[in-house]
Amino acid sequence: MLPMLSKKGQVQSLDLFISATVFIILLITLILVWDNFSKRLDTKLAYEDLSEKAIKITDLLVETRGVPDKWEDDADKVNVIGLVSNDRVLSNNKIEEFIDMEYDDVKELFNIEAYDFYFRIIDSNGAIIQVDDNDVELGNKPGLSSKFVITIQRIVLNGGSEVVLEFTLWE
Amino acid sequence: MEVVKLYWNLHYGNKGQVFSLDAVIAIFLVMVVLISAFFMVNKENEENYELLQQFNLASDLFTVLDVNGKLDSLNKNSIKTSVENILPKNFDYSFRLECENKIIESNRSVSSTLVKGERIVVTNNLDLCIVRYGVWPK
Repeated sequence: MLPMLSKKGQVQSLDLFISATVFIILLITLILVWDNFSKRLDTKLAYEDLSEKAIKITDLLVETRGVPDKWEDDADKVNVIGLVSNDRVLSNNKIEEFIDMEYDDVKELFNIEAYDFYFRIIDSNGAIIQVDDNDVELGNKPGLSSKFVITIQRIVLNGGSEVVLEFTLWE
Repeated sequence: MEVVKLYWNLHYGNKGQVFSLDAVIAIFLVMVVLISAFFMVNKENEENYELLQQFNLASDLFTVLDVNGKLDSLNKNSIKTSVENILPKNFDYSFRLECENKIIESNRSVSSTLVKGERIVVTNNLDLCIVRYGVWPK
């Protein structure tokens, strides 16, 4: 009976060793895959948040006059920034006031304190348009080290010509 | 020796197979869950945003054409030229302008496009029309 008991013990050790090895390999794979998934999910959520904010901001800019309606008369009292006098028709007075605003104040109004933005309006040749001899641009351009960058382009009218309003939101 | 072999076969042979099947099923299930999770997470997150961008582009395009009076001519070639002047070169388009007495349609049907919209247009001759449109990347 003794030799039999001895062999039984050896088999159990081998079985345990193999199963433990398989289990550890699977566990390590699972941890690595889980970590990868969670990073991808974080990226996805951050990107979606950025996209949603950028799209909503451009909707407000090109489809509404802002709140109050004539906020350009007293830009300190603006609650919501809108840049058009009619749907997709830019108002030069609103643009002029907008590009004169403080960058941080605009970020606060857009509720994008955690991000940075760059705004410009370009003509069909890609050149930045001018209003009252000032280039229509505001904000900071994203750099090579920027983590997420999203640019929304909207077609609008300025003085009867089609121009492109470009809003870049980045982190 | 015979006794040992007999003992081995009787007690560990079948038992081992049961554990193997159990392990195979477990690994299979884990793999299915992992692969499903991989596809769920890996699913292109730009998809919805891209479609929304296309919708905004198409909506802007036909709003601007309407406001600028470029749809008033009810002339297919004139409207096509106006669209092509504004639309970024990497996009293609289709439209169908339905008025009371006239229908103008671009070469491709709007119904086949993924992103589409419509807008009611009143021309300077007071024709009431509906323009249905779609844009997509080339």
